Amino acid sequence: MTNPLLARFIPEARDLLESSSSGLLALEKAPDDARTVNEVFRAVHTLKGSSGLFDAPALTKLIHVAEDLLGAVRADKLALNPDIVDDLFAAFDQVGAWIGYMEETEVLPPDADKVSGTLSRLLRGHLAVENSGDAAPQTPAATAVDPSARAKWLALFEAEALADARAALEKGRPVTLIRYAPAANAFFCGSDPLNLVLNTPRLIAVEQQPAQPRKPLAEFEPYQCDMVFTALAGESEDEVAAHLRYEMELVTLCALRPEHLAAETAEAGPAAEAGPAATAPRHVALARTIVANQIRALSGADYAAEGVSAAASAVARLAASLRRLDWAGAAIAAANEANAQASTAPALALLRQIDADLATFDQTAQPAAAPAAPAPAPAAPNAPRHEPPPQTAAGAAPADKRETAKHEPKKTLRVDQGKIDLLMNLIGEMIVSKNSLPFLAKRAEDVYGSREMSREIKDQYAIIDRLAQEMQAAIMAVRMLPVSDVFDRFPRLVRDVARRLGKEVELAVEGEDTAADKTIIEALGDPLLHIVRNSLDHGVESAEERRAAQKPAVAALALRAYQEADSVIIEVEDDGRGVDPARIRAAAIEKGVITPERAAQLSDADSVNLIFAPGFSTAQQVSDLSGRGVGMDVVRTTIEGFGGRVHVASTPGKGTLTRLILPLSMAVTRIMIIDGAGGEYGVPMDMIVETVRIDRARIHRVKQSEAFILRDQLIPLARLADLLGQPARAKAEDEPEAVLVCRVKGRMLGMVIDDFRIGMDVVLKPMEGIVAGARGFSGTTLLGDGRVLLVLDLKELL
Amino acid sequence: MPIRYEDGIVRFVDHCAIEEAVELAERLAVEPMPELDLSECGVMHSALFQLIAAARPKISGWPQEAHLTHLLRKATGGVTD
Repeated sequence: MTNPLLARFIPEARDLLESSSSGLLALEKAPDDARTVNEVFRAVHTLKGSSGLFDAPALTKLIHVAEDLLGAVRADKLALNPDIVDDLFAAFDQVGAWIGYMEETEVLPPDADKVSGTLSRLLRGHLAVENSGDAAPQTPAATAVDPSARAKWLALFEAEALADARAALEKGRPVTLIRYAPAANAFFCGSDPLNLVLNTPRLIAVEQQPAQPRKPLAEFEPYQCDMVFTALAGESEDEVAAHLRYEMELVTLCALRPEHLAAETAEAGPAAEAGPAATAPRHVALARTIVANQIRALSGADYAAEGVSAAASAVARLAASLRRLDWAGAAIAAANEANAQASTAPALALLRQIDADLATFDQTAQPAAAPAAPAPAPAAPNAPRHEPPPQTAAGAAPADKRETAKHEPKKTLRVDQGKIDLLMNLIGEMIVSKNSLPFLAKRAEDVYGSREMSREIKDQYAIIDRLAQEMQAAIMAVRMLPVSDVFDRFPRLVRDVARRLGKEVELAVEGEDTAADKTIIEALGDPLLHIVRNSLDHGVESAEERRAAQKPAVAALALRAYQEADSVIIEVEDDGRGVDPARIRAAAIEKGVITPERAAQLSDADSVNLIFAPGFSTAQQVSDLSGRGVGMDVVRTTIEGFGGRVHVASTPGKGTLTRLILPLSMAVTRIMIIDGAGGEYGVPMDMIVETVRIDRARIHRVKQSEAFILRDQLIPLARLADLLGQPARAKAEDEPEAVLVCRVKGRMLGMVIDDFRIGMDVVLKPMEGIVAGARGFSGTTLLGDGRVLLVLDLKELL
Repeated sequence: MPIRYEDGIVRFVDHCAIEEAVELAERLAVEPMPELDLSECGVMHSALFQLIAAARPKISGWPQEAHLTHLLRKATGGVTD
């Protein structure tokens, strides 16, 4: 990619989309959570801002509409419902797809404007429904123009314009009728509707009407866009749509045909004037009308605070425009008094006074170039909500921004993964070389006879050891990601899939803070996806089926992560119909995965795990979700590729538990070196609970097996020499036995060895080549003096 | 300044943007309302157009742009050619 800005934008956009989606999901469950609303809004807002840097108007526009929708939710004007969430998700997905496309090509696909318009209209639809109570006229989001509307719009044009259009059509050129109703806040969004329309390619004619009855200047809000355009352009609908792409959801287009024009001009006759030709406005006359209206409104009704404050603010505006600041003060006083007396009388009195003043208003007394009023008139005490002065709105924005800055996520640095990998390799090497120092110390003592030198080397070693460990931990931490990185996509996925399948599923996620190496976390995504889809598709029953089985209608799906020793365990558990071992066996035989003889020997638990065999699928019909017979096989291959294991346990009728066991990290492991079975071996430190020396007399024999009692707990014993099939070292009768107490699969076990040695950090290399098949070892490592050490896999041995 | 306020006359020159809206509103609120000379106006922001449509001042010079002139004439009640 040549554009570095875009290269930075793409990952950022993906992150923002992800946080928007997960926030939205949380919001669907707890719609009143203001913090989540803010988070989602902020993410979308940031995305909109950054996307504006690129030539991707369709994308920006779509995000903008989503932002508007979320803004309405934030302002409690709109209640989220699953349909809105669906549409927002659709918009986010589309944006995600575009970002993927932009990553490849740096531009948006050619149909983006159209797609954006459609989705925007969909989203705006929700806003329109919610706003329908308001007075603001919303153009109906209609794709097809109904003929009566078309006739009405065409009637707005002058006869000449229609003649031009007809001429163009007769020459075989397209003519498009444009109806464009900009949003009231269009100016705040930076658009300039008038010039947008004037710049329409091949504009034939344009007409403009105020959206609402035009208010007199005194009440006019300069920053509220209040215009509706109707225009004719001698261009195709697509060209016009491309020109108006930023506003597509507010535009209605209609490709004209000659008969439209013929019919409508005949009906409409001479083109009607848009507005009555009014006489030039005179301010005082306007002011009198306003005052008269207010008097009528107030005297015709009982006291109401809103009425009084509306009148007060009208007077305040009048005062500002006619430079009679004394009226503004009087208006506030009168409004206060009226509120205090709960009567309209004081306000009416003031209005009548002003009316009288206006009648004798001396226009010439006002200097022509009066100094500009310092600010709009002071607002009446309880000024109506629907008239916030634009200054206040603008001033509030930065304050809001300051507030959001506080919630900004922590600063992050995006680093190429290769650099981290290099650091990781270097620290691995360093740990190995550091391990040679104790050997050097030993040599200083043994070979050169210098105890002092040996001690000094050991002192230095202690420092380097500490630093290297800290450094390793720090680099590891850089690579460690929480499993939430993978888990985060599941709430959305489960929701969507469940909705599609018509099932009700409640997803519970536990232990999302559990961290593991980046490569592991990244490798987890697809297998987990397969497993979860399988669970939803095959495991979870429909609500009726569940009720019939006396289970709660809403199925429970749990996604769990936790750390166990050097592994991160991911579990997917559902309370669905479970897996029937007999059916699996039968299917496996039928598909030739296993011979009938072997199948007969398999336990139920083992049979269930046949689903991981290549080419196995029990789905009666192939669905679009899962069941193509590749899923579970792929899961196993992937997980095993990363040195992990996968296991399924199932109880028919009760549910299924799939457990993925993955190494926590591919990096450094702390081991203890032990003597035993005629050699030195490593044992992963985290398996070891403690080391004890016990007298032989304390070892009890129970038939073939041995055990001893450690703090009132019976601990079975195994001898390493026996486990590895090696002769044990001969020991003196009274010499105590060295026992390594380990925790294996949740049970305490003692392993009798010859002696304990030191602890050491090593880079564990997997068993490869001709030793790959050797059982009982998890890997090899290089010692400081160049020897190879085998590291025991206690889980397999014991 | 794209909008020049002279004695009793307001001149629009070249590109007149939304930033001018507040001042224009204030100027048009003055009695007698100043005349508008738009003959040198190139681009006029929608907000300014709206204000003119609301205030309906006397316009002594029309913009070069035919469509804009047409819209302004209709909106201010001025005579159409």
